[in-house]
Amino acid sequence: MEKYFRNADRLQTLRQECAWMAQYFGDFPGRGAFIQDEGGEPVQELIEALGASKREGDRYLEDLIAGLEAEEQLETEKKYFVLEKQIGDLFKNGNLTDAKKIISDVPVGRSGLIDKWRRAVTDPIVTSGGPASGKDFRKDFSCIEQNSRQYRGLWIAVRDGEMLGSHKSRLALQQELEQSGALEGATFFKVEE
Amino acid sequence: MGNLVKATNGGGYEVWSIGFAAFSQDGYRRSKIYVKCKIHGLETTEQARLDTGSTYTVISKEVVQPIGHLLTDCGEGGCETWEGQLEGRLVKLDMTLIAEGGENLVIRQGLALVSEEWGGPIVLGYHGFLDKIRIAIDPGNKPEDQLFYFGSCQKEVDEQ
Repeated sequence: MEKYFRNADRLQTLRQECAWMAQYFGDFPGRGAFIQDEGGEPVQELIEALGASKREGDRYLEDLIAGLEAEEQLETEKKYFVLEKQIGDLFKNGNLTDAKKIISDVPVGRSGLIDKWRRAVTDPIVTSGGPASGKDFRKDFSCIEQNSRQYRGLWIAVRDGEMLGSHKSRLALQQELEQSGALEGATFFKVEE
Repeated sequence: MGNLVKATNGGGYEVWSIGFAAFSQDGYRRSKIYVKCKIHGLETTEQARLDTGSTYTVISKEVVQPIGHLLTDCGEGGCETWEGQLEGRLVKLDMTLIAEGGENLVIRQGLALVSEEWGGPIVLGYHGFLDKIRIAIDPGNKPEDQLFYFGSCQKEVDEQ
């Protein structure tokens, strides 16, 4: 609670509110003492200074602080909303370098969206995938190169230099090969238009 | 044929790449380079275009449709292509560059843009993928000698 009293603007707001309350409730004994208090530290003393109704003072302060916290929360949400928009635009434009810089300044857990993007800019882990098969790729490459004109715009599948099939839809071709038992070891390629 | 080595300051050598393989070029223009890779979870092998000029690795949605549950969603993304702006979802996935000699190279949680709009081949792009591995192209004296070398620049793998 005391954090609001250490902030000059918040104290000013509180002072105005209390002055209004004092006026509304009549003359409180500690009114002058409260208004003159500049440090804003002792909440309890201030409430007591309001005198007659400590319970009302407590409730008033609780409401007031809840309001201030909601206001602060709103400000934070606004700030992250702006950042989300900014980072989103950078990702859409492929500017990951700037996006990464902004993300690194945002603490984890403040925005679900920004945390998602944080995952995107986390470096991959690169490891060995075991020994090579020793298989010769050139047969497949040569088959694809020879057929690329004929199958422009289509998905093709090859294995050991042999054309297994072609289709406009990758999934359909995959299904076709699966049904005929020819999927294993197949290399898929979308021939560019 | 073997892996590439790098001369060190002390007069010794250190292994620079862990695997190598032939690469292909499009039979039509011969201006693009294609390499073999495998997306984890798929039974098939892919022939993908190697493109450092592409912001992201780009994969059409239907390719990864069967393994949607293995992808980590990272929100919306997009990039400029010669056909215009491409929109999609950024995902993290595991992929292996397949070697003919040496060792295969696994890129775990590499970044890719999965797009319904993309009608081209799988593109291995820069951010979160090629910018995190070592690659070298040897054009050779003739097409049969063309080789693509790859390795990791992360210390753990170099020490293996």
